[in-house]
Amino acid sequence: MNTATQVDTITVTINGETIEVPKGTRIIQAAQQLGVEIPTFCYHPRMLPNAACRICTVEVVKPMNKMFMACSTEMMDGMEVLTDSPRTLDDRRTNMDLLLTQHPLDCPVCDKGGECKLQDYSVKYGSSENPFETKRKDFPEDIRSTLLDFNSNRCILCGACIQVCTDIQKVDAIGFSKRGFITVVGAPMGEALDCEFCGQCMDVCPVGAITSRYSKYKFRPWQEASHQTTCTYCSCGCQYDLRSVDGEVSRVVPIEGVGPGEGSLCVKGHFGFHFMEDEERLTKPLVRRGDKLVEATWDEALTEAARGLMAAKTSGGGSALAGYVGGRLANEDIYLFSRLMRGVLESTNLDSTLRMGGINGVTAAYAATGQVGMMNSFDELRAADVTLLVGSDLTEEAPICGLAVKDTITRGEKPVLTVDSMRTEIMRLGSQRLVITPGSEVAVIKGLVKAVVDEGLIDEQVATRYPEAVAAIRDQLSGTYKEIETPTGLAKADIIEMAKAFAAGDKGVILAGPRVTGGLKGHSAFAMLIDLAFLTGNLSGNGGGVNALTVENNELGLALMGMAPELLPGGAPWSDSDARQQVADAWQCELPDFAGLPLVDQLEAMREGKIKAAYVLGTDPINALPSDMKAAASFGALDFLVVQELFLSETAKCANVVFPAQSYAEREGTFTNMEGRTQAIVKAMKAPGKARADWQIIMELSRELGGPLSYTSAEEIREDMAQLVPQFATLDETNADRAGGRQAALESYLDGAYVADMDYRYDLPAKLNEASSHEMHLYVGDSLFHSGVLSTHNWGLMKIDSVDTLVMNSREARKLKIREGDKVRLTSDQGSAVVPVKMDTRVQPGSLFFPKHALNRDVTNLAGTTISSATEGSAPLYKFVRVTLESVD
Amino acid sequence: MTTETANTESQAAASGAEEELDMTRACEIAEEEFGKQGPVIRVLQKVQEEYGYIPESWLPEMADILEVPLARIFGALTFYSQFYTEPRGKFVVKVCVGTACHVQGAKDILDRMKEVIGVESGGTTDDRLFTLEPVACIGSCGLAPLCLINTDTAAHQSPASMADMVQALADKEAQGGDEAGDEVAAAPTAAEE
Repeated sequence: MNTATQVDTITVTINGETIEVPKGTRIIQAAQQLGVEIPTFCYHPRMLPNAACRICTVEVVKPMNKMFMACSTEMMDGMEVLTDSPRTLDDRRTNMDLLLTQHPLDCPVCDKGGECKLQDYSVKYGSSENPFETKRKDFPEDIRSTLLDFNSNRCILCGACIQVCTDIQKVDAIGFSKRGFITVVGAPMGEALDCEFCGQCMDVCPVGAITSRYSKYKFRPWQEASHQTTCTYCSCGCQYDLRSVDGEVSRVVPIEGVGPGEGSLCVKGHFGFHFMEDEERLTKPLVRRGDKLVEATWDEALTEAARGLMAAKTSGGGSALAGYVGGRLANEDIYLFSRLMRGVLESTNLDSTLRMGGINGVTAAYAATGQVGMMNSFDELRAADVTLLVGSDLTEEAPICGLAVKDTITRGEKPVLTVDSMRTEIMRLGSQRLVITPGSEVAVIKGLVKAVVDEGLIDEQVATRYPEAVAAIRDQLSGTYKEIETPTGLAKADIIEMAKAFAAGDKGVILAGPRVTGGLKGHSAFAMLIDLAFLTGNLSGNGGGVNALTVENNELGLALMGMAPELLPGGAPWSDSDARQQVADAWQCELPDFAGLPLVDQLEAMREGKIKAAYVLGTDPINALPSDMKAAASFGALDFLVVQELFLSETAKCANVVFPAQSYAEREGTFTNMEGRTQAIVKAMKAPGKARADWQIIMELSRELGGPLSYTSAEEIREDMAQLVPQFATLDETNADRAGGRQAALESYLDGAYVADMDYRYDLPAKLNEASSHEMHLYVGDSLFHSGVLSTHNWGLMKIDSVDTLVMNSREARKLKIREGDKVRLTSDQGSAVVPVKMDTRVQPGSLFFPKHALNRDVTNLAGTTISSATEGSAPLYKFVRVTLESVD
Repeated sequence: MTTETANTESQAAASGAEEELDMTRACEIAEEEFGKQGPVIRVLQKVQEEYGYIPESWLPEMADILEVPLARIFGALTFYSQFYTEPRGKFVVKVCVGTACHVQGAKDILDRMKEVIGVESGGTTDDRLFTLEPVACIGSCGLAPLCLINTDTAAHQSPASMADMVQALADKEAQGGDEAGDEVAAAPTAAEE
């Protein structure tokens, strides 16, 4: 690896054309650079050559005269290759003839027809007569899995599907079985395939052996319209090609090498494309008439909404209004909403789903580096020397970010260290793990920093350059390991061992999930991780860094647009008067110097009648929040509620006016992913009924209210946004590309506010893991097949996973004589819920997991919500619940 | 598709029988090999040595112990014909049908064996005494026609001589058997991955 810096080049010739390439370049790669096509079935640019299909065989004439496989042969200096010589073409034809002795000619009914490599190569390189005896296979098509059909007769056994499952997805769900003519690809033991359904096996299949049930017989490639857009399910922001036939989505196709995922997709992005066409979509504006919501025209609804909001403003000023936004919205929508609420309606009570914990990652990172979002790009994650993953079930919460970490294991063979209360997939694949008591992330993090300080693991340059900052941290860590060992259930030695492993890597990347930022001391926990990276030299621009993993699609857009009372557009704190003035100037309005109320206080103010009207977009607080937060009573107490949604949510049902919004596939705009990369969405299909784009609705409402907002396109809004938040000016640039600015901000932070910030950071919360009569820990979190409400409106994803099932440890279940599918009762101090059980080794004994998306009210209501302190993000904490479990007969 | 139901039924029946099988020793074998380089083939061979065959229903447990994906284990198991997933006879009669043996009349020996043992190729008698197996070249063509009974070589055989030998084994077994027969066929350690 050390030689990588001084790249040796060699000179090679392909078809008479000479080119200089780095040493180690394989024939197929050099040919690609020259634009020379070499056919291949099993070769994939992101995987090591498998050299199974042999169609890429080419003639090498110098230095030896021999046939070589282009995919796996590394070139030598002076090598001469012919890719279209008679000998090459002859071999290629023979290979085609041999493949076609077995392949059925069912192209008319094969979904791959028109984009099948075998078909294309047959036309290009095949012969009209096959000299070999044909022998057809006669396997029944395996249609037992929910989603993917396996037709082994069409399979050419190139093995690409198995390799992608093993090397990229790393789940090993499929493999070869048997040998020779009867070899088939499929799930082991002859069982039906039941996997993560990422569908990458289908994507790399050069023929029609693996097809998707959700698209089967619904398209011919040449009929499809193609739209490159951004996935909206999570914060990874994958790029894909949304294909449609006659305005109806036919399928989602990955784009190789493009976007954060480089062409990998997860089950949601790949197969969750049905919600746009769901029958329950809102198609017309609704207004309240008595206890009913009735359909109305846009004019009626807009006038009524403006009247209701204005009435509240007139009677109680801007502080009688509140706004609450979810991460479904595009940047342009959020920007206009912020202007409408702050500039036009003069309200500062503006909050978003960032409040659930994401806010802590934002404020802590901004304080240190002047930026929000990940410091590292997914590319840097792939190149990390050591990765520390804390409090995140990454492959469930952000599957494609998970693939980047898996890549360091497969391609780089680098250590991945995990700290979690769940035995996550990455934990099982990684090299070192600390399995902790649920909710004790903050204590382990403190332990890791302590170990770095105590064991002399501080980076030498850091120690010399920033002695004061290092001393400030050291001062906080004089205590013993006891306060860490007790709540986490770990031994001191294990913590030290992990700290040593992390400090040993040159480029150390830290990833912190929602169980860090959404914990009791979320802000401090994340700030300590910044300290950990700082002390180990990973904030020096070396390719290391600390990264808060955001969950919702445009969570970072919410942060960049300052969608929280303590934030301004750009991520600066509201208290920063210069930054505030800058915003006020740009918007030509006055911004008050007091910050608005965070969600929890907003709810209380609603019940007290201080907030009289609210505007909720793209989120459903009544359904999402546990009943002890009294969301229903709070929104119910309002004089006026406006909701803007895709579906009639529980919150929408309480509204006075409901605006039907367009989905991401029906409009233009941009989303910012967790890397800080702003990417476009495009109009790919017609919106249902009279639904309008969110920004359009906000703009029209502003017009009704006499506001100044006037735009003709999302693009125009983005130009405006870029003046306040420069990073919106460029698409597809990650925070890693903005490392320069971050470095300068960090220097000034370490010189200034750093030591003052240290005061409360290292005090562990007293309530951490306190005794309870309820022995088990329930965590309500994200799962792979779903995200929020959208995915539950997807018949495709619901078919794969629709049951609200409690996950418990297999061994523990056996001990309690509970079997898969049995119902159990969970009891907490707040209530009880009866749910079926599924077994998995993913949760450790004593722990339970329940999927958040299921929105099972009984389970949500088990929570006894704690609100973290204002310095820790005023986050409502309800995902960890102490419960007692008993079986129900 | 009609065969599918039949398969499921026979699998169910087989797994019913397997449930009684104590797999403790197999788990021990897997645990001994855990963490070593390329353990799959070795574990399969050793388990087969111990049990005479490899019960498929145990494979998920093997995958858990070795931390090797089930798909890879299943792939190796089904690739090599030396691995058996069904119980086998105490005596495995292998009739070589390679080229040299073929020209020396191997087919006649195989046909005679089917009559004497009363099973088709690959079959096992209900009393699990005999399994009959045609095999491709054993590599001792000078001894053609050649058979193996477990690991014992029987060179230059005829249909009649083999029939006698099998009959003798059956008779001995009926009288209570002896030590020699208790050595169940060990899989030849041929091609590793």
